[in-house]
Amino acid sequence: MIGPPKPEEDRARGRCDSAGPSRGSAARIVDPLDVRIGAAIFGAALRLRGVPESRSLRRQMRQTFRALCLRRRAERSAAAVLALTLGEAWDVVRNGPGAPPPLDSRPAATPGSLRHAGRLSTIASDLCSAARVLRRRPAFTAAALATLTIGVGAATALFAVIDHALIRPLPFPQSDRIVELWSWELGGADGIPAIEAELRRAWLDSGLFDVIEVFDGVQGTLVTDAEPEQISITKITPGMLSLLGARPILGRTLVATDAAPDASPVLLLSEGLWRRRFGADQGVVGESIQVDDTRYEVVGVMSRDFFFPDRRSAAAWASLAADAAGYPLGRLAQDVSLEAAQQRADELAPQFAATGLAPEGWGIKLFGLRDSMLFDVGTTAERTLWILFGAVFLLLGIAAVNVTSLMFSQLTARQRELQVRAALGAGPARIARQLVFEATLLGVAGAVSGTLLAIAGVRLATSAAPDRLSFLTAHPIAVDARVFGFAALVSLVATGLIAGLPVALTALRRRGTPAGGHSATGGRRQRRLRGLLVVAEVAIATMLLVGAGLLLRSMATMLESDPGFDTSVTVITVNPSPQRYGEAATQRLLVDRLQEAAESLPGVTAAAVTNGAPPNMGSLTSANRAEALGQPPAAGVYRGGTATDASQVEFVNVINAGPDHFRVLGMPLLAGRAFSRADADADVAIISEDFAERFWHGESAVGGQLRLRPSAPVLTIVGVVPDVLQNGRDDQRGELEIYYPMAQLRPGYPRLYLMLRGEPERGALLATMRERLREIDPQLPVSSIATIEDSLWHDLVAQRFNLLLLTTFAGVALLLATVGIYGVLAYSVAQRYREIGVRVALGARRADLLGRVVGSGMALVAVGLLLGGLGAWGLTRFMRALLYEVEPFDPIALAGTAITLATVALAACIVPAVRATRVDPIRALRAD
Amino acid sequence: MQREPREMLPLTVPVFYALLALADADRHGYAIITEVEERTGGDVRLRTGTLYTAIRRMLDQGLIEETHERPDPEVDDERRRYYRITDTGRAVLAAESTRLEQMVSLARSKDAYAAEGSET
Repeated sequence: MIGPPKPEEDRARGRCDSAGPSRGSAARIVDPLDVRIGAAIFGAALRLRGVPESRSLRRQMRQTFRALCLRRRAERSAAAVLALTLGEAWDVVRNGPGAPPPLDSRPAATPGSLRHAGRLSTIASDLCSAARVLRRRPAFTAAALATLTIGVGAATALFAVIDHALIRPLPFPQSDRIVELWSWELGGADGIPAIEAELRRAWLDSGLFDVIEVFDGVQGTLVTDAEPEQISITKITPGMLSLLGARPILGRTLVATDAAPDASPVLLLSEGLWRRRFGADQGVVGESIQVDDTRYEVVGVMSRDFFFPDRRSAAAWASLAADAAGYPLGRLAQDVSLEAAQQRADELAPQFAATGLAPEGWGIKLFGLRDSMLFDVGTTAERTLWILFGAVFLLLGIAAVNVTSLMFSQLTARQRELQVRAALGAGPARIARQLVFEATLLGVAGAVSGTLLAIAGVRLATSAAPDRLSFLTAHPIAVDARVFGFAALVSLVATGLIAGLPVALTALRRRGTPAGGHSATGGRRQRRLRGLLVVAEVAIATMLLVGAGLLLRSMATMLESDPGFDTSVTVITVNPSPQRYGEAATQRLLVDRLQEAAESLPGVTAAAVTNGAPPNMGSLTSANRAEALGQPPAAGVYRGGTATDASQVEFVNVINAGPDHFRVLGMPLLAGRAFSRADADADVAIISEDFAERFWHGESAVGGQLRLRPSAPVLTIVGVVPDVLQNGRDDQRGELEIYYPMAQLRPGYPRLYLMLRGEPERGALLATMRERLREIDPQLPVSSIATIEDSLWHDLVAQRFNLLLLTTFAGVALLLATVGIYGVLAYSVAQRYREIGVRVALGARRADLLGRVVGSGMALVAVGLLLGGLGAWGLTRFMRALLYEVEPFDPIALAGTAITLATVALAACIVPAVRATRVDPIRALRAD
Repeated sequence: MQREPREMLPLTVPVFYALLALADADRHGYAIITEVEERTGGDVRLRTGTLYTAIRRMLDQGLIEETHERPDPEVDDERRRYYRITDTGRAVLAAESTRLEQMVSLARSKDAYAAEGSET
């Protein structure tokens, strides 16, 4: 008895009926496309399986499948049909009636189910049998796949990052045409990232740009019922968001009327701030919130996917009048390249100067957005990425060599199978194809698993990536079809070309060997080849280990180096509002009150307020045109040197220091004196040792005179202090420091540090300080409290990140190489079982045998080490920029690598060697 | 060569469910799949390949047979092949059910039953 027909059955049936009795064909005409595609895939799976011999059964299966498809379609969607199809097709391949019965149900075997192997003749069938071969050797497949996954995964993850950072367009419309505009001394070294409004308009009129917009970053204190919070606000001119192609997820964008002089202030919140402080309340639009002393109306919320090219993670955006000062961003006119625009700008600049729009001798310099952002994260960011990319390719190389080695050992084990195949009439091309297919299939699987590993790796890396590389992660790194394509490419090259092809060629060449015959020693040619694989693995591992060793040494040197001050000093960061303390007098008062408050904290023996507590060193200014009066020009690009791009601008740290600054930091005065209260309005400065050396060439700088640029006031040097080594810096040029009296701090400076000496109680300190600050100004936010040591460690995060990545790669490479060496030697011993047996029978001593096997392995390792050392010598010079006081050719790193690798390789050799000494000659000779 | 029902135990999951589906009615492949799915509340979904492997095995072992009877030409597709459970099939199904029951009662006696069962 059949239940009532279901609607979808009715429909399927109805269609067949209406098409008349002409079987099969009717269904094909009326079925929707997805069902037809599904049917084709399902049919292919059946054919691949070569099943079942009964046509009737096959037809039954097709019908059942089709009915399932139609029902799925009615219930869900075409995509669901596709998912169903894939599941069903895979099931047919695995469990279909033609498949060999699963191991656990052999007794219930279906007679004749294994009959179809000979009938398979298509490429698909070769693939299918390749899959079977892989499945039948799970240990081999698992080992090869694991190796591949690691290699392909690492390479793919790094490719995703590089693609994101260096290749893929930034997430702005026509991002290749967006440029930063700097005022730049023509043919000179100096520039500032700002252009006056009138001049901006003139440039806009020049036709080089479609649009020029301006932004400016400010700090503000968000005042709510809860704790006041220091937030970053980026002010933008009205067209900025459309230049960047950004729209709010809630509310409206900023418009021209918002920037009018009499307009009421409005604010766009970032999604982060909106969620954190306003509980993602949609009603916030239209609300009024207070930042500093201004009330803003919230008009919208920007998605967290929107990132602004200033790299500050702004919490909100406010309007900036179109003619305000700020950092200009522009979009080049259509069909104008960056180079052409720069050239034209250089030609136009003198004209602008002649009309009095621009200062004499000044023009503009254009920086592509990506270049400018890369420069911002450090001159070595791009190089670091490429070095790491090189490293993962070495790793991938080891993986490929391991797979090759594995396939070779499989080949020998399968010699008889292949000979039987050949005897049964399979041509050489067919056998070679079969082997290449096996490799290819491995490659595809490796690409899939490698991509999965890469996704996990990228996720892990972005969460661990240092803040300084935040632009890498400001918008999500995509692991998409393009990245998968890369994975597939490297995986297939590794397995198909590097591993599969030589193995297939070897198999072809070996055809002549009579079936069943095998030599006692495994063949000289093959042994040489295996030796080559070991050498290659050791060489590659050497290069990676040397690289990691160099970074480790750098890190150790950095941690050991004397920073020039006491790192146990505790630093509290406060953020005064620039608006409230925009006057010099109020700011001085604040500094004094902070100083008093800090000194009165329990456990504090001395305190100093500054704008530059290491490793945060005040403000930066260009030093390219600094000069010591009456002295010859300084060395390098200082004074007279020309910088052709921003990376050649030399900077000096300008730090405002109080009388106790150096005492608190434990820095001795090398010459002269510290500041006193009497210096408040005097043109005096204290400079760092290196500064004195470069500008006074070994003479005493105290009493000397200096100016930072021709228009700047002449300063008298009153003291010289040690250089502050900032461990976190990745460039070793070593920036210079110049100290001004604290009283001369630029009004409205947004960040002050309270440096505390003594043994303040960390836990209670913050609460006490907050209390004191509330007395001074209830709207004064504290943003952090930490010892300098903590900050330095935090600052080393980029180095730690590089180190972590490279040591991981090197560790994995070491592991893979060890496994590879072990595999080759163990295999070699197994192959030479009879030979060893003969030797033992003839009286060879065990110790000799041990020495022989270990010796043969270690000889290969030695050659690999030598070649790897040479390679490292050639490659590590590219790492120079990442190294800190370590030469690329570092004997310690090299020796460390050699010892590590040799030890591990020795361990890998000994196991098979010991096995060789246990060979029982009688059994060995009796074999076969 | 007819074997004892007990010798054929345990049944694979697809074979057991297919026999169950055929216990009260003759069905074609698609109907077996939907019946099993409905009876198990969607927990068990047989794939076509799996089902027909089971069908072939059951045919070979004489647990089911093909029937060319078409219950009603009006409501059915003439090409569909129906399967009917044989006496052997019933005996094997009964034997398997008994075996499973014994296992379950053993589990129950050891208090290893799922919490939702023991609470009531």
